[in-house]
Amino acid sequence: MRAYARELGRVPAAQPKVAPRHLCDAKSLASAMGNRAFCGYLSRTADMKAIAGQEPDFDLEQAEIDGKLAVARNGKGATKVKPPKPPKPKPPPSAVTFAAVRAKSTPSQMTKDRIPPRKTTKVKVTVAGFAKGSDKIEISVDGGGGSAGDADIASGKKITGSSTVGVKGTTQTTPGSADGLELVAKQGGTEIGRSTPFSVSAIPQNYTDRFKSKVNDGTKVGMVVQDGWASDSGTFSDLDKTEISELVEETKATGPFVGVTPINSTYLPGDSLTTDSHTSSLTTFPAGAVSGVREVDQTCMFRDNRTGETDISMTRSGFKVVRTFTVNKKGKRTFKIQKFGAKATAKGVTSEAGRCNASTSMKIA
Amino acid sequence: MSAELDPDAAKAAYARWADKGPERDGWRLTVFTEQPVVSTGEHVVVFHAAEATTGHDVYVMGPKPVHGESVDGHPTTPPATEYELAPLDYDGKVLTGPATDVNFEPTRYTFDEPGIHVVTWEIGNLRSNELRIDVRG
Repeated sequence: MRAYARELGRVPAAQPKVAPRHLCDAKSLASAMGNRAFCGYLSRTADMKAIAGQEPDFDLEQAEIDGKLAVARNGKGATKVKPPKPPKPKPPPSAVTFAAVRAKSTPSQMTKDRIPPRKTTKVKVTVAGFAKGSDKIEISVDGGGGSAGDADIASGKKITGSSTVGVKGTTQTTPGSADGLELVAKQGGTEIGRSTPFSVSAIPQNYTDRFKSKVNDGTKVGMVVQDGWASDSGTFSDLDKTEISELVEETKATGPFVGVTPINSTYLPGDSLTTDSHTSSLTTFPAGAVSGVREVDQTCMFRDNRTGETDISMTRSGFKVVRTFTVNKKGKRTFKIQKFGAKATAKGVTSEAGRCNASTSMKIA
Repeated sequence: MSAELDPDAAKAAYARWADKGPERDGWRLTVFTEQPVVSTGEHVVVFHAAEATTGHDVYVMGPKPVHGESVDGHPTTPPATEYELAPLDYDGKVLTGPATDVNFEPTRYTFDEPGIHVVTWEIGNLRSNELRIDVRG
């Protein structure tokens, strides 16, 4: 600014004596506020424009005001023209990430994500960069309608921030067509997020047993219990593409009980209930047999043909079966058998306690 | 001799096997293989199925040892007892027929003599089909 002031000082005296009209206005203003202040005002204005990266939209002219030099605005006079307001820039699109679309009832062993039919599964949705004034984010299910099965968005179809979406399975996945469904987030028609794939399948859980009958037929002693389990969809027939396999492993055998190797059933239909039989041959307790105990662990695993997952430990399917043979001081012989829910491991399959409290006892001749 | 059982393979092979055993007293015993033609010295794995065609209890836990098997009329396993299909010492699932149990330990044979060799399985008065194995030199 100092240099500019010096330049002003070098303006030759042969400047026109009468300034144009707009300069006359400038002269009046300069006269009113003082030449020095007026020069300062104009040069500040010019500097500000330069700082903003724009060329000044007027030329500076020099004029003699009150016998001194001054600078006035050239161009369209002193009237300020307000530039039109630029259109508001569109807010940048948000970004959406989904948690796995996986029902809480899904055992950790299952590598594929799935939800049951009929029930609503909550899925966490994280939204980043949602700007005020943006379109709402719409969540939908992609890939549904065919063999992949289908699901609806039960809640949280339109969101404006991180939240939870409810996804309800409506049609189960056909075996061999797993991982065909995905959640999609769109904003203003543009996809801004997609979940990992999932399937719709019901799985068995929560094994139960209840006492059905005592066995003492002259060849064997024990009991029969009625098996039960549930579908995580709440409807048992939804298990039509599952199979279950029961596993039994001895953990203790003393006295007359001899050790046996672990056993299992083959895979059996998951939508058909069965009974369990727990018996011992009376030949186990010959005359003179001493007291003893036999304990076995029982668990269950399942196969879900819709997701293709197999050998999955059924949630809460652990039991212990305890046989006790006692001979008291008077020589009275008693066989007792109990089955109860407990964390158990059989043939490498571990499960938390199922629900059962069955027992019976009988005298043995 | 027993070989490890692949229950799914055994079930599938049983479903495909045409020459199932004769039905008697609501049971059908079948011996079957996926190797009906072998060379001398080659292992043959024999599977077993006990199919309840009526409402019998089917004790599907196992694999259970096979008793009552013969090759060319000579017993190759211990004789069967009357409890083969309803074990006295038992823990686990019992199905109500109609149902098929393939949860038996497979038996395995090798033959040095070429020709037709016949495998059968008997439990009490139940007798299986005749599994004819064509052994070629």
